[in-house]
Amino acid sequence: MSLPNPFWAKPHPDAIDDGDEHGVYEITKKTDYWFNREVYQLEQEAKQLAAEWAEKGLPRHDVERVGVLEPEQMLGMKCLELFRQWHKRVRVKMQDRIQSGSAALNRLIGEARSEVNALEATATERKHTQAQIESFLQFKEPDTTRVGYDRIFRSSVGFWIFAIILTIAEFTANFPVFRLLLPMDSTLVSLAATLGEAAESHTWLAGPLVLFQDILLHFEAFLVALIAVVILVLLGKTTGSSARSIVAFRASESPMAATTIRSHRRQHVTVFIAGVLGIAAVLSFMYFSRGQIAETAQSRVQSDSVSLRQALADQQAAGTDLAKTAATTQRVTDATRTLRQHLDDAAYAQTVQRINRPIVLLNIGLVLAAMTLGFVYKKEDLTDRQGEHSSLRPLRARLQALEREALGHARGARTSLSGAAAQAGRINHLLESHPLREWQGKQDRLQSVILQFRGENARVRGLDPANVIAFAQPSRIAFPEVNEDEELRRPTEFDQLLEELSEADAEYARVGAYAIPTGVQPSRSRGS
Amino acid sequence: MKATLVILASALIGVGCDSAVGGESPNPGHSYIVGIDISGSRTKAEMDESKQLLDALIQRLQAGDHLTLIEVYQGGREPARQWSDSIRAPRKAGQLTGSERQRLEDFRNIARMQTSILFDSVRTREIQRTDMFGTLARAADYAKASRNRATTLLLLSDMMNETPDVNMTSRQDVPGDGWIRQRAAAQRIPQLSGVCVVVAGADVSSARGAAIRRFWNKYFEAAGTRVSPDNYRNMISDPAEIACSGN
Repeated sequence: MSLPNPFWAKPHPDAIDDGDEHGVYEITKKTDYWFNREVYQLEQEAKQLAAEWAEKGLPRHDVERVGVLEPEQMLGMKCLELFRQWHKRVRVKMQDRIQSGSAALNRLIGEARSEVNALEATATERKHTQAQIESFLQFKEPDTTRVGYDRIFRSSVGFWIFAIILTIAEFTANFPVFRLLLPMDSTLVSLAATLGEAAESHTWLAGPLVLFQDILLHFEAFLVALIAVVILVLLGKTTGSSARSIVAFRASESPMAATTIRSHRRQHVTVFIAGVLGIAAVLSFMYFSRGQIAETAQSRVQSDSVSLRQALADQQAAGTDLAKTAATTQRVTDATRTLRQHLDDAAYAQTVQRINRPIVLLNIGLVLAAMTLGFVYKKEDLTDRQGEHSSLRPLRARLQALEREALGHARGARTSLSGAAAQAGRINHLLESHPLREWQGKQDRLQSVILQFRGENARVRGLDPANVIAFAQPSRIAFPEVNEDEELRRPTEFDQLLEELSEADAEYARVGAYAIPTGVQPSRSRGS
Repeated sequence: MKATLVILASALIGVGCDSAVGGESPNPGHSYIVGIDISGSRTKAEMDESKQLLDALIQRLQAGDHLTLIEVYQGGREPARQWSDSIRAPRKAGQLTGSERQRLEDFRNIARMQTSILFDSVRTREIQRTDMFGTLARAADYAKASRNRATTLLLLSDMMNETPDVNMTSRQDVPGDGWIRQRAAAQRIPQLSGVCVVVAGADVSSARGAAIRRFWNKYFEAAGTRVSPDNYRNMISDPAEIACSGN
C-alpha cells in the first residue's frame, strides 16, 4: 500500500508566483522542495518503525525506559543531518548565484564598453567622411576643362555630299524591290515604252534617262522607296550620332558634369536602341520582300499566261466574225504585251532574289556608312557644370551606413548597460535577502518526526501515547543554533564592477549623442 | 536634296521635250473605204497584190484615220461582210503619246487580221456574183458618215460587175451611156462627190477592160466624182499613190 505523495499531488502554493525567476524564491524553491521530500521520507520511515515496534509490543507501555528509544535516536540523528544539509544547500546556492551574477555583470560591462568604443570609432569615421563630403562639395573643376567634342569631319558641304550619295546608293539598291512589288498599270507601261524609244536617240544619255523615266513612272514605288531610304539614312545618321554621344562622355571623367552626362546618355541610349531597331526592321522588310519578289512576279506571269490562253481561245472561237475578231485580237495584244512585261519583271526579280544576301550586305554597309557619317559629323558641348564630384555619391552612402552602424552600437551599449545594472541590482538583492531566516520552521517540521513515531506506535497498539510510560520522556532534537542574520559572502570584484559600470554609463552618456543621425547634406547642384 | 530634285525635274522636262521632237506632221484624219473583191474572176496573184496593197495602206494609217473594209456584194440576200473602225485622234496634233502610239499599232494589227479574214482563199471559191453597184452604194453611205474627213474609196477589184442585171463578162454586155442616164434619172446612182476613188486590180489592157473602164468613168461622173487615169490601175505598188491630186 502506497500512500499518496502530498507534495506531488498538490500544486505548490507559490506556483502562481513562479513567474519571478530572478529572486530568492527562484533559487530556494528547489531546495525547499528537496527538503520537504526528505522530511516526508523521514516521516514515512518513522511510521514504519512505529508499526514494526508496535507489532512486537514495544516499547512496553508500563515499563519506564532509561535512555533514548533506539528508533527515536535514529530518527533524530537523521533529522539533524537533514537540517545541516538544508543549511548548507541554501548558502551554497545563494553564493553560486551571486557569483554567476557577478560574472554576467562583468560580461555585460565589457560588452557595453565595446559598443561604446565602436560608437566612438564610428563617430570619428563619420566626422571624417562628413569632412570629405564638405571638401568635395567645395571642389571646383578648372575652368579650362571642356566637356564636349568637335566634329571629326568638319565640312558641312562634304557631309551633305556624302549624305546624298548614300541616299542615292541606297535608293538605287532598293528601288527595284519596290518597283516589282508595286507594278504600274498598262497605260504607264506603254508610256514607259514610248519614253524608252525616245531615250534611245540620246545615245550615251539613254541609260540615265531610262532609269529616271523608270523611277518617275513607278511613282508609287518611287515614293515608298524614297521614304524608306530617307528613313534608313536618317536612322543610320541618328544612330551614329547617338553612338558618339554614348561613347564620348563618361561621368567619372567629368565629375562636375556627371548629372548632365547621365541624363544625356540616357536619352541617347534610347535613341540608339530605337534607331537600331528601326534599321533592323527596315532592312528585314527589304530582305524578306526581295526574297519573295520572284514568286510574286512568277505568279503574275502565270496569271497573265492564263489570260493570254483565254484570249487566244476567244480569238479562235470568233472565227471569221469581223466584229468579234477585232475585240478578241485587241485582248490578245493586250495580254501578250502584259505577259511580255511581266516576263521581263520575273527575270529581273529572279536576279534580284539570287543576289539578295549581297544586297543585304550592301544595305548594311550603307547604313554603317550613314552611322559613321553621323558619328563623325556630331559635335556637342555639355560644359554647363550641373554635376558634382563623382566621389560624393559613395561618400554619402558610406555616411549613411556609418549612421546606421552608430545607431546599432548605441542600442547595443544601452542594452548591455541596462542588463548590467539589472544584474548588479539582483546581486545586491541576493546579498541582502537572508534566506536562512526560515530555519526555525524547518526545525519545527523536523521535531514533529519523533512525535509522529510515538503517535503512530500508540495508534497501532490501540493506546494513548500518554499511557505509554516510555514516551513520557521529552522528544526534542538538539539542532544547532543558526545565525539567521549571517550575511552571504560578497564577491571580491563586485565593488570594482560597480565602479566600472558607473564609468561605462558615464562614457555612454558622453558618446551617446553620436548616434543621432546627421542626415545627408543636400547637394549644391541638385534641384538647382 | 534640293539639287537632286532639280536634276530629276530637268530630266523629266528633257524627256518630255524629246518626245515632241521628231513627231509626225499634223493629221486631221483621213477616211479610207476599201472595197475588196475576192470573186472568182480574179486570180490568186491579183488578190495577193491587193492584199499587199491593203496591208501597206494599213501600215500608213495615222492616228485619227478611219478605215472601212467592205466585201464586194454578192447581190441578192447574201450579206457582205464589212468592218469599220477608227483610230482615236491624237490629243496634240503631231505629238503622239505612248498610249496613242500603242493604240495605233493595235489598230493596225487588228486591221491586218481583218484583212486576212476578208482575203480568205477558201471563201473565194464560194462567191458566185459580184455586185459592184451595191458595194458603191454602201461605200457612199460610209463616205457620208465620214463628215469632214477627206475620204478615199479604194476598190481592190477588177471592176467587172456580175449580177443578173449587169454582167460585164463580155464587151457587149457592158452597159452604155443610156443605161447610166436612166439610172441617174431614177436616182439609183449613189452620190460620191468629194470622194477620191482609186481602183487597183482592173483590167486596163484588153478591149473589154477598156469598155469597162469607160463605163465606170461615166458612172463615177454621174456619182459626182471622177477617177483620174492614174487612179484606175491594174496594180499599185506604193500605198502613197492611193490619193487624188489636190487631196
